[in-house]
Amino acid sequence: MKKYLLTMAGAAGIALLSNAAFAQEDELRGYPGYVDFGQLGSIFGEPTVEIAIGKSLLGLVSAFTAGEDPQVANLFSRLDGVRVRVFETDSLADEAFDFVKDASSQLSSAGWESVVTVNSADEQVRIFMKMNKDVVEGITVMAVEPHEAAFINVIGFLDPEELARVMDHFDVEVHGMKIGGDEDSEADE
Amino acid sequence: MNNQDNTSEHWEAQIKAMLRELEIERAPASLRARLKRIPTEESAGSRRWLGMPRWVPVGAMAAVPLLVLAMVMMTQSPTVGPQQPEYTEAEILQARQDVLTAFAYLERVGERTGRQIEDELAEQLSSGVNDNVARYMPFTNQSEQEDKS
Repeated sequence: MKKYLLTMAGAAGIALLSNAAFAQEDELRGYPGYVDFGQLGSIFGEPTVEIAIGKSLLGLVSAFTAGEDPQVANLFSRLDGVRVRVFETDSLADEAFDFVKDASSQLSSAGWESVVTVNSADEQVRIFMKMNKDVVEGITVMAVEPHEAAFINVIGFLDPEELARVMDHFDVEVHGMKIGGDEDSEADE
Repeated sequence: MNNQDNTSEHWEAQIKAMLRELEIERAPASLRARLKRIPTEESAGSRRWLGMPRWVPVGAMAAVPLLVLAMVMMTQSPTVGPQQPEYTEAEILQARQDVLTAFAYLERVGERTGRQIEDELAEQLSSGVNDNVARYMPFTNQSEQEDKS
């Protein structure tokens, strides 16, 4: 009897857990500014940086930041999701460039507007925005260099000026390179 | 006719009397014991289904609507989902750091592409201006060449 009970409870637990994961993914997929990065792993392998933050956690981050900087907190609260995947691309630059081209045409056909395109011998950058009338619903950035490929998807509205303000307020290091914070003040000097 | 009826009634009464006198043969005790066990075994057997106690499939059937309801509630709307997970302060701080890292990547890409576009524009503008100046004021070009030599 115990065995049956455990089996039943286990099956129900697995069903609920896997459903919660699907529900989370479905919740993100529901937003118009969402871009599916699912196939990146099969091309680039394991990401060196992987960030995926949903609306609930962003709400908490916003509440946590409100005391420090209400404007930055307001920016966080307007976002529905932030997703980043960064890969090393030492041996597959051509393949990565091809992927960016394919993904760009897919985004364009899905109604994303190309904002910035950089095509150089050693770098490809695409910045797309998803607009609904005057409202920005999402930003997607694909930047591929010979050594690194970064894919960023911000779901919700992010004003570039606000972004600069956030980066001025906080010090962030990416691969040892300091961005924002004191950098500007050093540059001013 | 009447005489015939009387005869049949007489025979009927006689047969009934003989039947009453018949002694009922009792079945052997072992057989009676086995027969008595049958209802108990039958009811025990009816409580099992595919080798499981009957309450297991009944419980499973009762759990199905609950599971379906839970799935519907979780998938229907982001606000009507499962209870929000609780995060520690450290997790929230880490999440903020992650968001800032994402912003840093955006900023870095923006700065780099901005520089690249500025360089490209500057190059095209300067070559365009130089070409026009050289075309309409050839002496400028000549003086430049003299300076170089």
